[in-house]
Amino acid sequence: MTAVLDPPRARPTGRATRPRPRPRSKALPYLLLAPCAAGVLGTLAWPVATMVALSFQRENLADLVTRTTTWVGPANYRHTLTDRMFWTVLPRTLGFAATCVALTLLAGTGCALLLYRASRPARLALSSALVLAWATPVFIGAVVWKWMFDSEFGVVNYLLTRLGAGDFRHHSWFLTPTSAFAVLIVIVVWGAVPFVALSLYGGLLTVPPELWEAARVDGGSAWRVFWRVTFPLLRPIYVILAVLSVVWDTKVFPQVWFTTRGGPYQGTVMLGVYIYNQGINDSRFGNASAIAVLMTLLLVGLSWFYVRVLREESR
Amino acid sequence: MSHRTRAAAAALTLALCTVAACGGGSGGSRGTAQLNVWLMKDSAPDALVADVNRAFTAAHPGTRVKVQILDWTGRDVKWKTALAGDHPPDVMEMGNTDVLSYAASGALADLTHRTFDNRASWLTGLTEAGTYQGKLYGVPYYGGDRVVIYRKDLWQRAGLGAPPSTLADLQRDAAALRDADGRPDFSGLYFPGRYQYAALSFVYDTGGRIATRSKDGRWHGQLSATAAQQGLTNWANFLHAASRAPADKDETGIDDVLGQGHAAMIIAQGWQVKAIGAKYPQLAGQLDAFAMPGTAGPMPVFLGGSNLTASAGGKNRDLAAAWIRLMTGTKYETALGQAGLLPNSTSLSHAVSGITATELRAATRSWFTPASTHWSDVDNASVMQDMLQAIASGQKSVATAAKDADTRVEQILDAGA
Repeated sequence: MTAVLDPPRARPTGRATRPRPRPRSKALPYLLLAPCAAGVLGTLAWPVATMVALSFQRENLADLVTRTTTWVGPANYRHTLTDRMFWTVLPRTLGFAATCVALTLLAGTGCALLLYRASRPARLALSSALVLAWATPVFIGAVVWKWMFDSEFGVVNYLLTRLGAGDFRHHSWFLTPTSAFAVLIVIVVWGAVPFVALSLYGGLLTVPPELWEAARVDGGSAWRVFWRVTFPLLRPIYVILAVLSVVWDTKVFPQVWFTTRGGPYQGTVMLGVYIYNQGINDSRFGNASAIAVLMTLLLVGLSWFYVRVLREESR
Repeated sequence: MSHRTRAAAAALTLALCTVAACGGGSGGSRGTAQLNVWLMKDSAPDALVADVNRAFTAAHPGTRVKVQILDWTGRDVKWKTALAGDHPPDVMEMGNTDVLSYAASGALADLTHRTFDNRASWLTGLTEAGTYQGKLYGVPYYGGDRVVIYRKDLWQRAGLGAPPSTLADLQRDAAALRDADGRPDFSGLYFPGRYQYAALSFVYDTGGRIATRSKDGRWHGQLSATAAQQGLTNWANFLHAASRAPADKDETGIDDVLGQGHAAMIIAQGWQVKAIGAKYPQLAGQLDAFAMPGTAGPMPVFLGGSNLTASAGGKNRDLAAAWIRLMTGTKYETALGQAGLLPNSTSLSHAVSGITATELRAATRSWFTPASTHWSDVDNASVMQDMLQAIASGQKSVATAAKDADTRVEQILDAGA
C-alpha cells in the first residue's frame, strides 16, 4: 500500500515536537504591570512635572496665596547659574559626596570581608548591628548623633576625655565648617555602610572559594588576592553601589539640616539645604525648583555615565 | 468554593469597602460655624483661652471655637501650607517679627476698619509690627521683653547689695558671683554666643542700629558703623568677663542652666521666673529680676510679642474679627497682664505687678528689627547669630564680622522678589 506522505515540514531535527501552549493574551504582561506603573508614574510624574513647570514661573509667597501664575521663562535658571552661592555650594556638594562614597565603599568592603571570615555568632552580631543602623530613620539618627557630639552633654566628648585623647570637655564640634563636615561624614557613612556591606557580602558568597585557594597557592598576598580575584568578579555590584551612593550622598538633606542647619556661617550648606532655604524658608519656589531640576539633571548625567560603564562591562 | 462563587464574594467585598470608604466623608455641619484659631505655645494660659471661648460662644450662639496650639519651631511651614490651601485657619497668633512678610503677600485680612478696644493706647512697637502700608493686619496681642533673672540666695552669699544700675557694675557683680562659686563651669551671667535678641541690645545701647533704609528704598547695613562696633565690643568683653557659656549655642535651654545651678543669672523673659520655679521647686522663692543695665541708664530691650491676625481666605472673617476683639479687649488683656505677659495697651499698665512690672518699665526703651518684608529671610539665614558666634568664639574680629554681616544683610534685604 502506498501511504500518502505529508509534505515535508521545516522542523528542527532531533527535537521532540510538541505544540507550544499559546499565551492567553499578548497584553497580559502589560496589564499586570499597569497598576504598578500607574502608581509609580502617578506619585513621581506629577510632582516632577509640577517642579519643572514651577522652575519656569516666578512663584513666591504672594503668588502661592493668591494662586496666580506668572511665567518668567528661563529667568530662574539664569539667576541660579549666575549666583555665586550656587557655584560655592555645588563643588562643596560634589566633594562631600565623593568623600562619603569613597569612605562608604572602603568601610563596606571591610565589613563584608569581615562578615565572610567571622564565626557564626560574630557574623550574627555584626549583621544585626548593621541592620539596626540601616533601619534607623535618617532624621532620628541625625538627632541622636547631634546629641552625641554635643559640646556640653555629648558622650563623644566624655569618652574621648576618659580615654585620654585630650581634654574634650567643652569641645564644640560645630564651631568650624571643617569640623562640622567631619561629623556629617560620620553620620552619612554610618547610615550608608550597612547596605553596601550586606550587598557586598552577598556578592562574596557567589565567588567560588576555589579561586581564592588557587590564588593563594600561586603565592598571592591578601591584598593581591582581593584586587586581582575578588574585585573584578564583584565589579558590577561595585558599580551599582557606587551609582546609588553618589545619588544618595549628593541629595543628602536631613543629616545636614538636623545637625547644623547649614551652619556655621552657611559653611555646610549643600544642594539639599540650599533648595530648602530658597524654597521653604524664603518662599522662592520658582528658583528652588530650577535648582532642583539642575540637580536632577546632574544626577541623571552621573548615573548615565556609570550605567554605560556597566553595560560595556557586561558585553 | 467554585470559581463563580469566589468571583461573586470578591465583588461583594469590593463593593462593601467602597461604600464604607465613601460613607466616612462629610460630617454634617448642621448650620454650626466653626472658628479655627491657631495660637502659639507658651503664650496665653490655657484657662484664659478657655474663658474667652466660653464667653465667645455665649455671645455668638451657633458657633464653635477650635483652638490649635503651634510649636514655635516650624511655624512658618505650617502657616504657608495652610494659607495656600482651601481652608486656612480663621485666626492666627503670629510673632511680631512674622507678621510683615505675610501681610505683604496678601494672605492676611485687612482689619483697619474693624473696632478694637484701647486702640489709641496700643503699644507702638506692636502696632508698627502689625501695620503694612498704612493698613492694620495684626492686632497687638501681648508684649514681652527680657530682664535679668537672678538667684537671691547666690546674690546674698556673694555679699552683693542692690541690683546694678550700669553695665560695668553688672560685670563686676557677675565676676563676684563667679568667684564666690569657684567651679570652672559656673557663669556669673550665662550668655550663649548666639543669643541675638539679648546681644544686639548692646548695639542699640551705644546708639548703633542694625540697618537703615535710604530714601530710594535700599537697605544699608549699619553694624560696621563706629557706634555699633563699640556696642559689639562691649558685648564681647561682657561675655568674656561674666559668662562661661559656649559660643555656638543659642538661648534654648537657658532656664535649665539656671535651674541646675550652672549660673547665677540669665537674661530671659519675665514669665520664665514662674516656669523655672515650677520645674525646679527648690528655687521657687529664690528668683527675682531686674532690668538689664546699659552703659548709661537701662539697656534698650527687644520688644517681642505677638499679634493676632485673620486670614484673607478664611470663611468666617466677621467672626474672626469678633474673636480677636474679645481676646484683645480690656477684660482679657488685664488677665494676660496678671498672668505675666505685657498687655497690649499702656492704659492697662496697672494690671501688671512684680516682675512683669519690671519688664514693663524696661520696655520704655525698646528696639525692633528692621521693618523689611525680607527680615525673616535674614533670620532664617542666621546672619546675626553667625556674626555673634564668630565674635564670641574669637574666629573673627568685631570689624570683620560686622562687615560680613552688613554685606549679607544688604544682599538679602535688597534682593528682588
